[in-house]
Amino acid sequence: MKKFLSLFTAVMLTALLLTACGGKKSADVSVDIKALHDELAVTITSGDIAEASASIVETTYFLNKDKVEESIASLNSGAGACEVAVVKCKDSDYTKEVVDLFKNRVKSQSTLFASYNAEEVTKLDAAVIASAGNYAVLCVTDDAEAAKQIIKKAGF
Amino acid sequence: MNQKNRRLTRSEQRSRLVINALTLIVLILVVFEGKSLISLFSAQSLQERIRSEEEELFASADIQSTEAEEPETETLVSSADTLSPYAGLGSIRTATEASTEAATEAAEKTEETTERSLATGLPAGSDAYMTTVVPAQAVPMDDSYFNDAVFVGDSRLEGFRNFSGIENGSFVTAVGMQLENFYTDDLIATATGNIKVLNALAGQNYSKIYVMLGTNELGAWDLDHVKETYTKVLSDIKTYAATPDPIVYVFSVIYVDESLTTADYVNNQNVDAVNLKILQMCQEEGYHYINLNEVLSDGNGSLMQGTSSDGVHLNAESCATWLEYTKLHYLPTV
Repeated sequence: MKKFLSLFTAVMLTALLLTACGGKKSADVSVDIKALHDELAVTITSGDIAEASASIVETTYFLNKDKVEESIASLNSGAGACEVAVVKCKDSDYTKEVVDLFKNRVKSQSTLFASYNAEEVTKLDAAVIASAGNYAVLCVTDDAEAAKQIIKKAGF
Repeated sequence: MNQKNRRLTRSEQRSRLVINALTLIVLILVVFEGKSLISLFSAQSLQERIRSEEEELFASADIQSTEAEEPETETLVSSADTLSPYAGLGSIRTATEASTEAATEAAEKTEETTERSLATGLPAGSDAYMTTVVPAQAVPMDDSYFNDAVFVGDSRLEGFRNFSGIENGSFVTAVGMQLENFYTDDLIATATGNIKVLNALAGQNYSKIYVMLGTNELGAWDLDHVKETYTKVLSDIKTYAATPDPIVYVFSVIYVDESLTTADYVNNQNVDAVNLKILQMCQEEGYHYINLNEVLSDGNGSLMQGTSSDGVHLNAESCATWLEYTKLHYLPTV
């Protein structure tokens, strides 16, 4: 009995410790999407990118504007695949859909660049897509590791 | 024996001295100028000199005979002269002078055409197609003009879409779109994957078409085939329009910055060649050519420096210029 009680206590303590880890819950994430976008844009060093209008962002990623609270993206001149997009959804239910739309975008670009400019496919293969709460982010960049660090620091 | 031992008189001594000096001079000449002397008097040189003199003689004889025949050669009298008060006197020119004058005029005209081409950004030889080039209007169009417009084209037009600030119109553009894969490849992105260009157009509602193709055709062997295919592509795009006779605007292929491009065939000579075919197509089909090189050229048949980081795709500022130019170049009747 004593052994059983000791084992049970150990298991319970371990379980409690594990639940205490993890820091912020994803639902608690709050992101300044402009600041995040600007920080990620710095990791793109090849070619020209520029901030696109809301309507162009919407049609590029096939976003449902009624479900998006705000969005910001910098797109490419057509020479390369690098781009960055951050979307804040009105509801976290739509975040998963936006992630799928980002994945679709990367797949579509990979198909086109495979025959147009194959070097860009490497960047697309390393594309960073993340989500937390109402936020989703896509970054196709020259420095995927730096982008991952920035996104992680932002709470994703 | 007495004669041998006899002493020479003064005059004899003087004479001998002169002879010795002359002999010495001759010897020196022979040593230093012997070759020239030999050639001067050689048989071969004599023959050559005789021959050259003969040629001179006959040449002068020819000139004299030509002059004698002159009154019988054809004379040219300008039509203006026959009508002028001085027609009776007339101005007679030789055939040689007339052809020289014509050649000079042609050269001046070519130079003038080249200068005008460089200034306007139109390819040489485009004079015959000027009616297809859309002139600037006094007032730029309102953005709503693009409400029923579709933009179809390659990566450069994709960049225009992303950078220019245009808010209206629909875009069916793709990196890598060209005449050869227009029908075959799934180029146009949708929410569920890529589809073919014509399938993407089927869902649009347009009565104006803006198209940009040709950059991916630079260096093509058969430019007539390029024109033929481009004509077919535009004809098919028209069939999906909301109206039976949509307005078709064809953007020129924009010049490139050869100092930045990486492929040899991506050069401005090829740009001009493709644009000339596009102008011909516009003339034949009743399309309207928007000459972007008028505003994007450096005046020397090249893309302006500072407008592109890779020599082909324009930066945001240049795309904004492109949009402003497009807003000024439209058909005012619609």
